[in-house]
Amino acid sequence: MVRPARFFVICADRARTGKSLLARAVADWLTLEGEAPQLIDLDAPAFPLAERYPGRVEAADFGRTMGRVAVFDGIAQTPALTRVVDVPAAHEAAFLRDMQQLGLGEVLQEAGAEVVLFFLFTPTAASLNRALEVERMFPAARFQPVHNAALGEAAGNDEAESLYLELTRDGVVRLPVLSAPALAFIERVEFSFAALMRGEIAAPDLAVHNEARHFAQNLFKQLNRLQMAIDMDALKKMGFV
Amino acid sequence: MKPTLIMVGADKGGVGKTTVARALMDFLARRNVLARAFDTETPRGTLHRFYPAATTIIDIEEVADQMKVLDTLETAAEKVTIIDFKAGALSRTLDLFERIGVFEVARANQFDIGMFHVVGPAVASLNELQEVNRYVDGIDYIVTRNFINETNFFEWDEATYKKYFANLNNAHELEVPKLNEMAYEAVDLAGVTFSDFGANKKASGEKADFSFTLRGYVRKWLSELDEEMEKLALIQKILSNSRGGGAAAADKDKTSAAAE
Repeated sequence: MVRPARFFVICADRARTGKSLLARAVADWLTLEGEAPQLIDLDAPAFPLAERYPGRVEAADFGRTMGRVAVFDGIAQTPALTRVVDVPAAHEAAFLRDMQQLGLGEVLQEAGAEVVLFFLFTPTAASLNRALEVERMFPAARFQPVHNAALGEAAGNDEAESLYLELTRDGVVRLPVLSAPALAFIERVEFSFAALMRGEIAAPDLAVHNEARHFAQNLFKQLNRLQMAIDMDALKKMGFV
Repeated sequence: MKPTLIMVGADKGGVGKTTVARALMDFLARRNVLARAFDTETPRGTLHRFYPAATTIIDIEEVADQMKVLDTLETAAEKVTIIDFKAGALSRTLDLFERIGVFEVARANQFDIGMFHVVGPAVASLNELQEVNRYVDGIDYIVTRNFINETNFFEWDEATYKKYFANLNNAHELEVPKLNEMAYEAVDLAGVTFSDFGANKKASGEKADFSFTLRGYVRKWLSELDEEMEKLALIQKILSNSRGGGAAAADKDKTSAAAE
């Protein structure tokens, strides 16, 4: 089946939750599927994705109107292009608010694109509440909560536990904990999960190499499961299921 | 339907009088209320640029032009008449209208009068409030704070404003919400109404190619503005009087532009 374009938004209400790591993993997973996704990096002025994916990144300073116009107009003009947007925590509220107010989700869906919203939460009541709020903002999009295991668990706090259960009722994507050497390997500029899986790059240490591969395999398996759910929804819409 | 005369003005310049008049014309058009406008910024009116068919440029100091407005209030097809006063003309015109009995007729209930007094954060602007307030007996007096072009360099001192506002009789408030500065500029450059910009339409009614993002900002601003406008008793009165009341002023503009 020919897959429709997909629009992945990776966001979190706090910094350092693993957003950019997930954005890179999603981009590499798509690459391994044979797609050439466009990445949108809003993290001015460093634009860390631009260095890693030369020629495939649209970098824009979302703090400026000109940047917002460039991003949203670009998306609206070519909605049938698969994209991965890495939204810095500092712009999370503004990006999602604008996306909702501009009706960008509707524009993408009218063009046949699937909108997938990854929200990386921290195990605190405030963050879990925000994730639920974001889910309610985009009822027509596929909302996917993401739990970075390195950030701890919601256990021990009744309110957070109950919010966690509500948020993850349809499943959660889990980012496994990485050791410091594996993380350092993954953070190298020349590193990509696609290159790792194709055997084009190796860590100096076999244990680190295996840990990075295991991380990628684990995450890609979860992304494949998510894609299957998206495909099933599409089949249901078409009346085949 | 009883005619309504709406004055939009301020003695101080640069507070956004014409923007408020445009916002008002836009709002009424979206509510299908037939309105006409008089632009006192002679010889080239800014309001006229956005509503050429519905707007007449006049010199309010001229008796003939005063007649064009006042003598036709009841006979004009448009039951809402908006006068956009140029800077400095408000107090003089209010004084003139008082002398020739315009307010007296309104107080006798022959027509309704509303005044959108546009004020900026400067003390000069706030001082106008008392000056203008002595004319407002029997009319809907709306102190209008225009935040549309608000920047960090142009802040309101809320406490000072509240102190001035508290001393006014019979005053209502309208806050024109802030619009993204780039969106405002784009509408201005396009020379179309806010609604047409939001709907991606040229003045002629043809499809335009305005920015998706800036259109979104304008649409959001319009919905915020609608909420503010609908709180006003004057607007509620106009809307309830005009139910079933014909085509909008903007449609008139479109018709005439299309004919050209």
